[in-house]
Amino acid sequence: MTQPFALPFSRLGKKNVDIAGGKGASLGEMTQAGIPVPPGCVVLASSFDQFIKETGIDKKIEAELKKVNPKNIKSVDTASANLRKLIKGAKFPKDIGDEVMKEFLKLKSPFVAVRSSATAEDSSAASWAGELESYLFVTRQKLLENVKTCWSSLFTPRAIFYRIEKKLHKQRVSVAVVIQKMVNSEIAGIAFTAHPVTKNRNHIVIEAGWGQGESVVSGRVTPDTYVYDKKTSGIVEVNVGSQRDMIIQKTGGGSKTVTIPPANQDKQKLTGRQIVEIANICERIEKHYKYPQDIEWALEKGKFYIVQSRPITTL
Amino acid sequence: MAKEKTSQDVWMTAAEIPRNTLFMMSEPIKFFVQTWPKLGLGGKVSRYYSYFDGDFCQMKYIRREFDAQADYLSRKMLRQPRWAIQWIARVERWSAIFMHHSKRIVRSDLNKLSNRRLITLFHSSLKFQVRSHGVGASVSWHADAEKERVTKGIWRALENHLQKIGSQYDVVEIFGTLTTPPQTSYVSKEEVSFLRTAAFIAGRKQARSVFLKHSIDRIPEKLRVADRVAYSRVLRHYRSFRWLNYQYKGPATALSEYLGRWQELLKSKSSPVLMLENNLQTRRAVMKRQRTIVRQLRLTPYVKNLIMLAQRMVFIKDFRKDALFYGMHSYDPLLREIGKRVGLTIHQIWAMNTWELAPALLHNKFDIDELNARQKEAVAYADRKRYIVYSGEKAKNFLKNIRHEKTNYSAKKELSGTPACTGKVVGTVKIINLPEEMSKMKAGDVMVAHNTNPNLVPAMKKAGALVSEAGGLTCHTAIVARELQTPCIVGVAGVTHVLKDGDRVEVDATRGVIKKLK
Repeated sequence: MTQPFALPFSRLGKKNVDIAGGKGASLGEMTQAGIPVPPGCVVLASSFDQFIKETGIDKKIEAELKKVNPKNIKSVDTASANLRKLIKGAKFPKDIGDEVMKEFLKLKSPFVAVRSSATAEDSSAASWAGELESYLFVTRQKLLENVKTCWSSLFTPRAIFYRIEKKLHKQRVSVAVVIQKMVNSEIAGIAFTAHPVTKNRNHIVIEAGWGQGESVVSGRVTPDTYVYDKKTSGIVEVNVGSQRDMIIQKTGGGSKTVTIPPANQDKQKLTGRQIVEIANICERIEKHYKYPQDIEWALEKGKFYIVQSRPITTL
Repeated sequence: MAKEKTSQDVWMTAAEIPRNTLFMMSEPIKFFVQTWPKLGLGGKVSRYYSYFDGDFCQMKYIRREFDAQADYLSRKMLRQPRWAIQWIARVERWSAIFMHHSKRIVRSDLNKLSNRRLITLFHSSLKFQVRSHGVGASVSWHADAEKERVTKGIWRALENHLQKIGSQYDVVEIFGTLTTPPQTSYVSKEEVSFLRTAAFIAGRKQARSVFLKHSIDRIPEKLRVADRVAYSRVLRHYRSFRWLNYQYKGPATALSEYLGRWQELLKSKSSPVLMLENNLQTRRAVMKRQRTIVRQLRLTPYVKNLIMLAQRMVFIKDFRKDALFYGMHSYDPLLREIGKRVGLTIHQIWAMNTWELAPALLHNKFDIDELNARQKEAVAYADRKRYIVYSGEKAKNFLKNIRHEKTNYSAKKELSGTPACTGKVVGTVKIINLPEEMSKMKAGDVMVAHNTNPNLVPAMKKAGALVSEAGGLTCHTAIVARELQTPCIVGVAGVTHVLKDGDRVEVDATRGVIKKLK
């Protein structure tokens, strides 16, 4: 069998950072560990490589990057605009497209999240994954277009700058794309399995807000904050935040911001039992990775999903 | 119609209790309004509410009713001291049983017990908490609150008696000695145990050097290795008394605080053995002086009963509070265990009425948003038939219909109260109502408090004079002041509002006057 273009999470693990990127490998790893990750697949980095080779833009990319002078920000911007336009205009290879579609249909979800997941030979360099892009509530019609946009996010001005700064241009840098069932969350948020402020490793700090998790992640709303104690298995603190608006799914794709009914604005988002449930899941993730984790989670129809997990870098 | 009546009544604040919980207050206030009439303790209070601003609690009565109830109780107590003494004996018994049941909670392996068993354990203790506190508040608080009716009555009776027999004594000189109860309070017990332990450590070379050489956080491990006996004595003291400062929601005293006190003492020049001897000696001297005075005064049976009543009031005031703090401290792990099972924090449970605990644990019945709202602001209202907690908008609406008596303390330069221990002192004011405020106190400062509690004693010991808003010669401030021989004025209306930290004042505790100096 020839090398696949896309693989489901269930067939990926932490050793696959080189083909699935940091984010993709981590989602595969968690799926295999039995953590409730929304199902999905990764368009492997090799697909991107084949794409630029097949369409013949690989040479052009190299030439464009050589022109960049990191001391001149304008040259970075120009290169970025040129490269992204180049990728946008290139034709999506049919064999890759077919396989991606096949994996998409397996997810049985009208909407998916599409995120880029960078790869590099030096895996620690792939921590710049966070710098790349993600698109929510993507429909079937827009799927391949968004995969391409994710590919081109390898050439945002920041990414180009970072690549030169870290001397990554000598390395083979590539990008995988994560396609994941979109969780249409009523409540979502983040969790730290060690207290980020007090550094107490017995505490799990959970933040929760109404709607999609983006508003909590970006710090746009004041979320509820819960503190759970691993030692006593009890909730030690509940602080309810007041939330005026939330991000939800727009019919037909994309997302929108709506006002929350006044009666719900000051409500506690998660019940005590739900706080304990998500805390237990987070504890499992931490045990699996043997290091405190920074986790994104979502709650849809009473079921918790883990959208992302990465080590807390500030401890 | 009921609403109209409410708007005409003038309400007053009878007490302010920082760091309180709805959980603790829910039972006694129902008792005050609904049960006292049935027990013959007076039924003058038909409506009451606790106002919670966060965890700061104010006890609210209708002025007319509060005074009528205090009149009723104080008159009955002064006319029939034996009646009051009997009630106090019951409160003492209930408080002791309450402590006994609380101890059972502490000794239980809570996480192994079924939900039902946890509730049974709680209820067996609660039953006596309700009686101890619910009844105790009548004869040991309400009767003597604000205007010190009972204290003043006993004072006058003693004064008349002294005149009649032509005694050379003045009441001020002997009142404190006469009203000292034979039992020692837990605060004094702690003091003695603390000094005993200090004396023990001082006599053991290894243990002593651990305290002198190491920082407080390293003492436990070092001491355990160096001297196991001393180590276990230290721990015993800590376990026996750590609840004393817990009050209604903690925290209890940390081991490090005791270690710090021992370290300070061992590093100082004073000898713990002498201090202990002194402490016991003083106490023996007071009791001896009491016996002498009683003999000299040829008390009539009635005055004798009044003195006995005063002693019992002083005693029960501390004892029922100690039982309450001990009980609340024992509930702490129980409530946390229940919280763990239903997914609530202990703060959310403290926002419950006690009777809401069983439905929450057994049937998962509770309203989490209501519990959160109560923690911000709440009114717990009781009348003869109802008990209702209002929060959020409902609490605001309730308060809109309340007419509150106006208190205007602002421009006063001189304040007055009842002298509790004589002397004249000039000093700097420090307002102290909570243990964490005690660090402000410097030796010789004038400590001003709403009312004091055992957990403020360390600051009281540093004070050049003590002043409290709450009164009664049998109130905690007065008792401690007499023990320490510190000039003291109690029952000074509005003092915590008029004086500020840093004010220079002259406290004339012989006349009972506080003067603000320029």
